[in-house]
Amino acid sequence: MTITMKTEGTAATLHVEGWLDTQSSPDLGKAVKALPEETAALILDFKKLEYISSSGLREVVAAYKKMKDKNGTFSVIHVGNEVMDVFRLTGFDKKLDIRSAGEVIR
Amino acid sequence: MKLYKKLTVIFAVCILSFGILACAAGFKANYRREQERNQAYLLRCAHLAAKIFRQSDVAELASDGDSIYYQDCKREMDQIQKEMGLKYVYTYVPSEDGRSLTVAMISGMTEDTGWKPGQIVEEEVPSEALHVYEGREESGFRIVRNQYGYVATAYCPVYGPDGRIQAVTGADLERLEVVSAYFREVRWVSAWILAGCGVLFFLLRYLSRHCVIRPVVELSEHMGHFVRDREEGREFARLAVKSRDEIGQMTETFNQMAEELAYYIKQTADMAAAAERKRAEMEAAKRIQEASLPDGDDPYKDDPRFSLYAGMKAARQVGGDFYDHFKISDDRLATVIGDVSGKGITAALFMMRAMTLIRERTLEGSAPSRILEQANQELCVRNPSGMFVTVFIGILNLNTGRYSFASAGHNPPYLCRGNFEAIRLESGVPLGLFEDEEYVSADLELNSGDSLFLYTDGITEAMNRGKELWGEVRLKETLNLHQDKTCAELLHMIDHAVAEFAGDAEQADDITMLCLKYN
Repeated sequence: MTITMKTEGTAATLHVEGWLDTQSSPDLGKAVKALPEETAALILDFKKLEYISSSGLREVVAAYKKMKDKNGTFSVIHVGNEVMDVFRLTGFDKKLDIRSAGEVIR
Repeated sequence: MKLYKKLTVIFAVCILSFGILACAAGFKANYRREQERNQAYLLRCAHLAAKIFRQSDVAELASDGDSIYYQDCKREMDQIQKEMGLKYVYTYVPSEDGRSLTVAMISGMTEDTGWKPGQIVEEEVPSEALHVYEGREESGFRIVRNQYGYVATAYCPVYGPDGRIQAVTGADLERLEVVSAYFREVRWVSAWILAGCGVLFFLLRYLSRHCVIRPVVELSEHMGHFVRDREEGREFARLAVKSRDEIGQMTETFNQMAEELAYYIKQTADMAAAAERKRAEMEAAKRIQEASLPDGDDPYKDDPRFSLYAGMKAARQVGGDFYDHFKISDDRLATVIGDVSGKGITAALFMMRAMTLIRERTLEGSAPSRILEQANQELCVRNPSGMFVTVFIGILNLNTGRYSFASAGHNPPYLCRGNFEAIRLESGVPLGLFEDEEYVSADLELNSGDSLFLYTDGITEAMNRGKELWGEVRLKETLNLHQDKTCAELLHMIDHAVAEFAGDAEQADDITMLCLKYN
């Protein structure tokens, strides 16, 4: 799995590529932790994410909570069908701002 | 080859070469001096002999070898030859062209030469003798090997009473005698030099052994014993540093190295022991966790209304899967399955907490949605590590077959009514995340013969070496293939199919299943 970060002002985008499983999930946690302090908007771009496990979900929720605690915004975009199924199954699609591949940010 | 042997050979070669060179140099230097001395001696002899003829006309003298005067002169010359140890002493007059000579007198082994007084010998006169006769040189000297032997010869002119050169006197010395005498002398000197070399050799050998070899051997023996001593429980004793040279330095370095090594060995052993303790603790935690799950092997055999079978196959680490089943009352059976995110002790503790909370709330008689909400609220409090757990809970009325259930982000169970199909349900988010989350209960009416299959994603996300997931399609196929089997058999079939698919890939997640059949 590879994570690339792009920042634009106070908005940060993490492009996550490959498998977000038990082994690689901690890397996402570290990437979120390493975000600049002033980050007010975090976007996870899952365009090239192939698989997410429950430990991956945990990191996504942790990132969401971190942003919520400092009144920032949090979105997951370009979510593919398989990963979207996981979000639907766990009900996260209703709690978090999660958009499938077709949707665009408002 | 050992260092000591190497050094011995090096010393031997060096010293021997030095000795030979010294002897050769001494020999050469002395040989030249000896030669000069020899030459001077011979010349003196020649001069002495030449003086005999100072008062006489040599040509005239030679014409009559029997005259008394000649005999007197001859005696004098014989005396010089004998006393001086010469081979020959002779006087002759070279011819004008130097191709012949006229013998005047000769002493020595005359029969060897066959020279007689007055005889003209057809023989090339040596250039040294000719130069002397012609007055071009004061004297002449040569070493030659000819028909008369190997000789050194000195020539000097014979002056007549008128002061003119009238003949040449030669004095011959046997070279072999000179050379062998010289060698006799040099032999002793060489012997002394070589003896000195021998002493030097043994001295160097001793010094190298004492100052270099022995300390190095001692050091290497100590190094060799280091590990053995440790194994036998002996403490490392520092080596005494006896000198301030490189060997002393090496000893000091070894001391330091050995101490550091001992320190690291101890540290590694401590770490291994700590790791072993931790492993044992984890093992114990795992056992406690597994023991906290109810018996899966159809504990309700006496009740003809249903059969149930459940099992969990834990991954290597302590995991967070759990299942639960218990009767709330005689006609109500609760079935619970859950999966805590993450692994390790934190996940296991969180799982225990979740499981206990759900059991308590269920026993209080609440509806499934309410049970999840209550458990969620309690789990959200004091959850510093942001753990969450997906839960499916279903309560079966054993008399009516009504199965009411709720899900907190868990995989929908499969219902077999002719064919296994996943239940459609409205799921809330997993427990432990959002305190105010609301959950929804739903109902199913089970008919006699219907089966329910509850599972965790350890099954659908079981992976083979090619990182391929087992998936829901395979799960459904396998379930339908064995739908007429008993609960226990069905679970074994699924387990077998998953294991076969995974092959030698390590089981990454807990595998948990629960099968319920309503009769």
